[in-house]
Amino acid sequence: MAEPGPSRKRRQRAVARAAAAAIGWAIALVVPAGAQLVDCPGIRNNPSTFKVIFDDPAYARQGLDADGELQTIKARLQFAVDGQLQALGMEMRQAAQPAAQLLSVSCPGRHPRGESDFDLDRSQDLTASKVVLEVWATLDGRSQGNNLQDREARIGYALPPLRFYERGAPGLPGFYQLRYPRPGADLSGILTGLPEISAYATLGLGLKAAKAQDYDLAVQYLKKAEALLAAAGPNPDPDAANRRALVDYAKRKSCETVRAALADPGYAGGLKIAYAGARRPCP
Amino acid sequence: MIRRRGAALAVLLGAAGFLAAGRGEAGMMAACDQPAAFPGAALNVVVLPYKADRAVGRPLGGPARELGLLIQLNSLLTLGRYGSLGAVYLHSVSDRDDCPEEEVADQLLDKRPGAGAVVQPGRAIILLWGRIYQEGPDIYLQTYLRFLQRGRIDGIERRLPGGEIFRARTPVQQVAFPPRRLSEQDLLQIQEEFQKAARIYDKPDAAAPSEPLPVASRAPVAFSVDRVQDGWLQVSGEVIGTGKWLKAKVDPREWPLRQKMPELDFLDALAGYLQYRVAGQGRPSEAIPRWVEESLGHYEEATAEQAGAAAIPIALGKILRGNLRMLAGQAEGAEPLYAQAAALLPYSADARNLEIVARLAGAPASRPGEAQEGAWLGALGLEPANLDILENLQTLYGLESRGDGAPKDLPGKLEAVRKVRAGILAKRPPEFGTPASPP
Repeated sequence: MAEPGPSRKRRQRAVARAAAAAIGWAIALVVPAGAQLVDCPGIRNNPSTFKVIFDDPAYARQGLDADGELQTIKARLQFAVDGQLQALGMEMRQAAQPAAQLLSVSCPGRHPRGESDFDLDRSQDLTASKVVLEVWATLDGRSQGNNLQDREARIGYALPPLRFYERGAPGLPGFYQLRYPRPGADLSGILTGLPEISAYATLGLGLKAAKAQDYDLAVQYLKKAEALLAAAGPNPDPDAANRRALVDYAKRKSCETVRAALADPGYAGGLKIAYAGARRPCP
Repeated sequence: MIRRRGAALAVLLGAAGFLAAGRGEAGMMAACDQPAAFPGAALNVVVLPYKADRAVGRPLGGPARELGLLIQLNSLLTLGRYGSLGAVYLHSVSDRDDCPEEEVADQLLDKRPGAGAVVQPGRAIILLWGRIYQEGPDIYLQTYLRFLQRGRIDGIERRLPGGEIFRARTPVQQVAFPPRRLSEQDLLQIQEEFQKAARIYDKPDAAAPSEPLPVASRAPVAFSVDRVQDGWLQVSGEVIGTGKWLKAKVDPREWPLRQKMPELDFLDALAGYLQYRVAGQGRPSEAIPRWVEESLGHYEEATAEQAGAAAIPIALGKILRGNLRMLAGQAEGAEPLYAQAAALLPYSADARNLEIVARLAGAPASRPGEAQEGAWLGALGLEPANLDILENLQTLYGLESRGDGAPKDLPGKLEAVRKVRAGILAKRPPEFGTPASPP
């Protein structure tokens, strides 16, 4: 029943060409016009400070920048993200036991194309520069004739420490794209909160501190991340599975960090008191 | 030039004896590059200009630009009931657009030079600032607030008959409120009301000759409130002269800005709370806790969202109520409020510490023991370097070791806590967890 060789090969080539074209179209649809991961000098400044990178929100394709509503969404996003990052920086400054500094780094012209932009090398570089989170956004809409409908913002998050330290771990990509409007909400919801920013940044900071064996800071922020991740996001939430995985991971990681601290003869901090006697760090 | 102006302002504030004691209000408009506070005021409310967010990309319209000034006048008109108050509006200067809150705070707390006059130790300050984002006819405001009593840690303590002290601090002293939407029409209406209120009259009569309050002056404009008469304030100052009157009969509930910005209810509550703290042993007004309660109630009613970042001001409101109850000796009323705050901030060891200390204070007959130890160890598991909790554990172990039949492992526990505390203190300046604690 097999087809003659040359005919089968021709068909395979045609299918391959069609598939390549489809992939090309798909990429064109999801990758913003002119997307690129340009260098951003601010990342390497202040080497001792934790950082969150906020890239320029970009339009998914040429021509969308003329749409007034998408321009408004872009401005809202900038306002909301700036506000979240300021609030997070303030919170960290006053959580002085121990204090952690968080810097918001703005990277104009930088826009990740997808998960592949955060390969091992880049994740390692960003982690070494104390980048705990990179945030970007793609603005899109469905063209129908001369009208644009179903406008949306896809907000991307990469957690370099998670991608680097847990590379390949199932269920923990460290790369997330959330669509706004959220189910059952409208786009004005962007203004009142992007709770995942605080949750992801706190987790990234906790992981970085854990790697540096700064056990006290790590446990404080991993436990906080667990609480923030558990609270973030209204229902129904299409990203609930990712979040549950992160909640479990934050819990597991804080537990491992406590164990590591207790086993470290060089550590003489509060965890040795908190878990002296019968108290156990993990259920 | 700036130094000379600063010296002149300090002399002005000192010589005028503004707010030297007891009740009294004073207002001032000054430039951001030379901030000043009223040294004699129990509380200074300092309002910084609301900044246009970078998303706006164009200059703000008049009403939005003047919002900080509106809030200052609102403070002056509504917060005076609590006691001695200085309300300061810092406006941007032409050669410098930003007015960084941290820099201004450091100057006003005498941590860096540049202030015309600074807050005195033991006196309180509230700094308020924000961002504005304008989208067509809608204006979104995000307000930030920071408060402190200079040289004091805000919190509570439980003193035992033997002199031992258990302490807990307020975990949050900076708040980012959720963004709030106002229409340009709302702001215009507020501005109209403001323009009516911000006039100086020759007599306490709305029909008397009047002129606008000189609010945008480059040089500082300070004035004291000398007398209150039938809803009018008699004010005097170098620039505005003597024997002038401000129409102040404004019901706080009717002040339009307050209806649009529930944050101002929070500000009101916080002002009352701080006045109560500063008054301390000087018998603060018994009405203050009731007013604070009312204002926090209004804030909560107007704030539908209570999750995520919005949980922080809600939790802080509960802590302020709890602290007031503790100061009034009503620990049993404070404990459930702290428990609610701890549920809103499940990661905060300080919130749990407040609850534990209040529980101890609510049962004065019982000795602290295993239950408190377990609770503090649990909180330490959240923040292993929390010095207040380590100090409380040290005090607890010290107490237990003095009793009959003390467990054999107690000396070891006590020594371990001492070592950890010493290790943490050696790594950081002794600003936190050191004894200069409340109230």
